[in-house]
Amino acid sequence: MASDDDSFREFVNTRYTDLLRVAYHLTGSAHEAEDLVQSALVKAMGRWRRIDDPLAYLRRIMINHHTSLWHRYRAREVVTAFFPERPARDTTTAVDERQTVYRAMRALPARTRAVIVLRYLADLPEAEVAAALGCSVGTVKSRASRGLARLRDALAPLATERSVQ
Amino acid sequence: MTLDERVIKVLGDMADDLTPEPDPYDRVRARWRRRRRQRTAAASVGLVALVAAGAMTAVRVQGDNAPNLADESDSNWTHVQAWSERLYESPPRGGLAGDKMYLQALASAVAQQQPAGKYREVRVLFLDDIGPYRIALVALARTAPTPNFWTHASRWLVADRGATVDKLAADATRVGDALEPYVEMELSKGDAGAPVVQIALAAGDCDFESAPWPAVKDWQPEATGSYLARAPQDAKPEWWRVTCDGVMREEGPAPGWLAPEGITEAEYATALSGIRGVRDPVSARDEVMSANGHWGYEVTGLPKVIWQGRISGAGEDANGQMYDGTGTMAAAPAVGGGWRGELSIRYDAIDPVSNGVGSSVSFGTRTDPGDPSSVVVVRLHDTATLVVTPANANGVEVVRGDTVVAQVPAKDAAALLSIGVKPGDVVRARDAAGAVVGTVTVDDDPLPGVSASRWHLE
Repeated sequence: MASDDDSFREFVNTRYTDLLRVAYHLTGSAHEAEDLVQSALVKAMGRWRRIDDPLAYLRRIMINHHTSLWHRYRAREVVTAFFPERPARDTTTAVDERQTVYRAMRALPARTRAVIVLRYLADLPEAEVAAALGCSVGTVKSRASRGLARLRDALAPLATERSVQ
Repeated sequence: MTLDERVIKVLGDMADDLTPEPDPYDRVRARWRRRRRQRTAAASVGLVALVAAGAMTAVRVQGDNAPNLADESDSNWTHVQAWSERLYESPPRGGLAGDKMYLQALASAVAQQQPAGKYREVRVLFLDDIGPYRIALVALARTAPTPNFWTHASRWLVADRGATVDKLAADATRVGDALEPYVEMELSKGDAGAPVVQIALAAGDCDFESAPWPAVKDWQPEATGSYLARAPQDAKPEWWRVTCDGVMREEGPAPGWLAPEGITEAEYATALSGIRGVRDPVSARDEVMSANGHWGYEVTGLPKVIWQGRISGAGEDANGQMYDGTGTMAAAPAVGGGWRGELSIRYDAIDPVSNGVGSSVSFGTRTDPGDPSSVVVVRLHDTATLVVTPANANGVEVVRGDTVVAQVPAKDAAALLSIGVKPGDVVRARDAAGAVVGTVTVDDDPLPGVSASRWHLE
């Protein structure tokens, strides 16, 4: 058991931030991302030795948990729609872009958002996204396409403004 | 940089500055200990059937193929493994299972793809052409299985109908760590117009039955016996169940997303039309959407929001789970009768101990909680029960035997009791004149309409 615990501790220490990033994009809030990651890790902890690919497993838990319970976070997302404090390199345009994409992400259906996160943030192949979500590759393709189109549409006016400037 | 690349870069930048809270490992361990205590406490209360409290309720999750073995005894795990082994040892099923040469070639091709020494044998358990697809299920026996992990892995292989062995074997998109006793898969649902195929498989001497949703009464045996496959033209909302050796082992909605996305404005209007308490339409809509996705075909109609309002003074249970906040209660008629309900509580502030933002309590009722004259009782914990009353009630009392054990005022169609109700308690709502305007007897029925999986039982 000690070796299992050591392995789990090492995983948490090395992968926590990666999981947190995925969770942040699913929930839209740093606090709720912590909550989601912690819940997923608790679920995984008791069966640690039985998990072949912990990172994939935890992503799947987080997405399933979030897509079934995401409404509880959504109301809060509206209230706390802010980002972590940005470093000084940020320009006004960059902040606008992030706010725009943030809002567009929050407007996506939960499962479409999950596809966007796994495909483009976690950089998983479509097949792995499909496995994580328990759906077909075709579904991943269509959701990714629709979701990215919505984000693109949201960002397009800002991109136009920037090119004019 | 294209606009798509820009979108992806912005997404990446947004999470760049995230810094975890301190001591993530210790916080996980603390939560884990709390959860174990909660479960132990819940089991000892004996009211699990009345309400199931906690941060989340159990859902049948498509694609999450690892069971919660941490909560099962070694004996239970042994039973699960035995059923998995029976499935592995079963003869191949499916319309093409008689093509021995194809099966052998497919097993060989899959075996050659695996790392040397990892698996000792590959078997094809299912092969068929269904709709536009050729579909196979292969099981891989681990060379050196560990005692607490699955003995077999599995792969669903999908290619075009009539595909060659090489093309079918080349599909590596549906890889499972396990060969569970009951295996199911759905293809393509979610793409508008895409053909939907559903398949499930159990050990060779089990029997499948199906019953159309929403009635789920007229169970009919499946001609295919120990497996079930639905071509696109046959896929429909329905329940499946599996009986082995005379014991029902699996029962629930056919595989797939739990419910279709998309609720019309008219449906939302209906779902929000009878809210008691203090209305919050935004939260109410969210609750309807979530409950719809969560319950799916375990209920027979769209959820309705029953009540909304503040819960103040419920405090926390013995395990630290908080119950104060803003509540939204929704319910829907359940498959098999009764109503399925959930009370969601959104905290005013993040719980500093658990980092939680809210909690929920599932409950079942025998009578329609959407009836404005109904009394809905939800036990939160040992010293708190929420009672939703008719709008004209101004007080609630609880009678246990011949004794009134609690009496509190009601406001905004709700009252909070400082006791945990018990089965047999009679809860009455009275108006200002003292007349009874609603009453209910607390029961201990199991949650209605819940899927069942009993492979862990002897």
